[in-house]
Amino acid sequence: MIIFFKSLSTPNHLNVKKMKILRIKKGFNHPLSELKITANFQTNLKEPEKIAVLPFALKGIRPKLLVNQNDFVKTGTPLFHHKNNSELVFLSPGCGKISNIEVGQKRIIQKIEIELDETQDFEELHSVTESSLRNISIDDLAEVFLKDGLWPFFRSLPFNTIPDPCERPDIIFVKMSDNVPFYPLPESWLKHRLKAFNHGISVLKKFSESVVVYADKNNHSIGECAGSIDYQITGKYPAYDPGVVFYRIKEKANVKAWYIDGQSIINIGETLAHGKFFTDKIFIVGSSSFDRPYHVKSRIGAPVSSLLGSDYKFKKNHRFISGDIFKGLKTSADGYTGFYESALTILPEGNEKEFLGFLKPGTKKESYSKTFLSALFKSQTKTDCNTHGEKRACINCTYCEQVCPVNILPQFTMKALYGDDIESALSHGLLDCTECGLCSYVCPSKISLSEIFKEAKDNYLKEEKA
Amino acid sequence: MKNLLKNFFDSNRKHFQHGGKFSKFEPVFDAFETIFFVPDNTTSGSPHVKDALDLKRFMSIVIIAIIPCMIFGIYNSGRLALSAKGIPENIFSAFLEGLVIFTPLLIVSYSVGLFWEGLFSVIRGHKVSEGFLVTGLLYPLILPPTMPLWQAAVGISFGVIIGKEIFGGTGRNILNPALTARAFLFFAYPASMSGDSVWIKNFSPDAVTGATALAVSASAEKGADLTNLLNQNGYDFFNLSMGFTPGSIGETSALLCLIGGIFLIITGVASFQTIIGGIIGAVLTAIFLNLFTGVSDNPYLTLNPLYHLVMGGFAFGIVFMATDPVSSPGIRSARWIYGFLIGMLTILIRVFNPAYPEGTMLAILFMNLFAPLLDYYAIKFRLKKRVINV
Repeated sequence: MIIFFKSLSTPNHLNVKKMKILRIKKGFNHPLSELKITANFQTNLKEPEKIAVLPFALKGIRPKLLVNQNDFVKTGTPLFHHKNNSELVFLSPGCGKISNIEVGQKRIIQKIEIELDETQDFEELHSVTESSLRNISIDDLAEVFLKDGLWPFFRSLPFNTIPDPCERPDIIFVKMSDNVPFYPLPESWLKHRLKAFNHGISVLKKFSESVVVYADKNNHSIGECAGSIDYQITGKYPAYDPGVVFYRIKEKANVKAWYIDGQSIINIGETLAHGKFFTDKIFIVGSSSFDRPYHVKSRIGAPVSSLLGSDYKFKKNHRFISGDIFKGLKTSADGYTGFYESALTILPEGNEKEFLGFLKPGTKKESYSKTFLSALFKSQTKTDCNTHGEKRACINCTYCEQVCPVNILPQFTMKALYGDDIESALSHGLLDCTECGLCSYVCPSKISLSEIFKEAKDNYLKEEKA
Repeated sequence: MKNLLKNFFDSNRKHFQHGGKFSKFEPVFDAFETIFFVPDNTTSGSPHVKDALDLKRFMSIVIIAIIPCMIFGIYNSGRLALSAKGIPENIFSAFLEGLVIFTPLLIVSYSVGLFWEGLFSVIRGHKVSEGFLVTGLLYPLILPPTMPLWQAAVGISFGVIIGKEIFGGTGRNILNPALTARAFLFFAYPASMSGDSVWIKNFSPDAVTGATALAVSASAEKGADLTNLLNQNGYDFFNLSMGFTPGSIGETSALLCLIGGIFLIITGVASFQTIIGGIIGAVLTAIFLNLFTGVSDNPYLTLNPLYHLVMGGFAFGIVFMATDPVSSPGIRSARWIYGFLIGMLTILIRVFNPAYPEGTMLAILFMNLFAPLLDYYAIKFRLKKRVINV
């Protein structure tokens, strides 16, 4: 009791912002996250000739094109806007000729390819400097964000959609680091950009009083921006997911929460400071066959091929994932990276039949469970995209519940949704689901739990809007 | 070997695929192929990776845990059969005799059970589930060694069809199929399932009585000190836990059940909540009943609580039967209560219901029925603490 009062009465005369530590116990660290990551850069790269924007990957956005094929666009020229709201525009991340607009099934625009030109022309955008920030109103700032194409950097919880332009957040989460394989280290993109970062953060503080910046507790090289960090996080994947952090710190319902990647803060800061659309982006490239993932300095919409060193040997039957192994988008060697994803992961497909696979002792098998010898001896496991078994009925093993970071009861929620009982699913916390994919990963019956939840959430969003 | 099998499956697959001669039997073909080859399916989107654990591995771990009990059960039933016939035994002859007793039961269990599994899969167009691999091994282990084969076949048919398939197959059953099969035999053919003779005497009419520890206890005189009585009959704690006693084939050795249970807990396949909860439930109930030693002359009231754990099928039941995930509650906290009540009910049935000397089977089946209710309240309790995000 005495100790308790003592700690309360300690005067905070140092006036240093207190970092809180958040421990997240549930989750699972995939063996690939054991790979040591350093802020090393691969420099032996080809310059991209083309870049692309992938409208299909922007959740909840129905694009209406503003440009045609063969049009010439500058960096920052609007390419399309949201059908229901013409304010929400998406800018071109490069300067050049629109060489291809690919339309897929249901007339969904798959990609807009831009053949880069040597003239690095920029569209003149609005700027908000540190001095003008004091006098600007929040609505004017939102307008600048929309016109400067910075609005799409925000996403809102729980549906991971780009927030409505009229919406104002109660809280904004800024994710600095992640332990998912793979996510760029904060020091890789903070270097020389600290000023832009701080500017970006002070702009965000205009939007909401509570801007929550969180980073890895064990990362000590982040010291440069330590002043802005509110939470130090430690825990297994997906401890750094904004949905998980929000779940842990929220106290009441109906809080409008947005989140943004720390790296996007730099894009915001630089764009607002100079009035030019800032498109630099640091990627991390990793694979189960690499000894060590490497960072790449590239740009938004970069093609996959430009992220691979020129000595990279293409192997057959490998999958290129824009993003991490749990949430990333499937792409191909001649594909492009997504707007939000700052990683490229290469995994073997694993589409071959394994002889007597379930009877092997399994020293190289990765598993959450302890049913393989790899649980005893920490050896490098083999990661591929095989499902490692066939789909079966749920046997109630509770593995999904053991890993779920937001304490949903995945197997019961899945069964409720199976019977169209959306009410029960919502009461179990369906909307807290961060779509981290762990339940799908651990399921021995190979049920696509997280895909089922994702679909149910999307349907719920559609019905709510209608 | 590998290539031979691969060629065999590859060349015959076309007959079983859509439009082939035997397309209806695709589930059976698939069941055989996937025993040898993990399919080449890959993930379609995020998450791009999947755990290496599948149901085949999951069930294999259970089977590995049962194998020590099975081997000892074979030896023990052979040993008792030989001694009943008055033939001097050694470890080999006993094991051989045991194989003669056990193998036909195992073959009947797997062949009849898999026949029904296959039939339902073919009709429904489902894949054949691995759940039966465990059920088919557990079932003969909880039968008396003298069980007539046709009755064993009828029993497993009932267990698979009524206990599992009519609910939709593995994963959808509410009762443990192996125990359902045994319960059916228990009530349909009581002469083959209980009494003193089924454990040994049926091997040879001249044999001395083969009353089990439970039977000795049930027939004890009123007011007797049961712990002493059991010790006098050769059922001391050591013998009971080692398992050199008559009983159902696999259930007698509490020690090997314990080893199997530890293996299952370490691998995370069985829930330790159920096992430990069950042991706590049984011990606490027995201690509580000990308090009433003077009040009634029921001899069971005097029994040392630890004896309860090693007598009859309790150890086998709580480790291998109660932990069946499908018929258990799906919330881990509810599994504590589930296990505890199984332990408690087992003791209560043993002590107060002389008609059913073996309480474990009925206690587990009874709690299987309560599992959804336990889940319902466990979920309700958990959701109270939740901030609903709507």
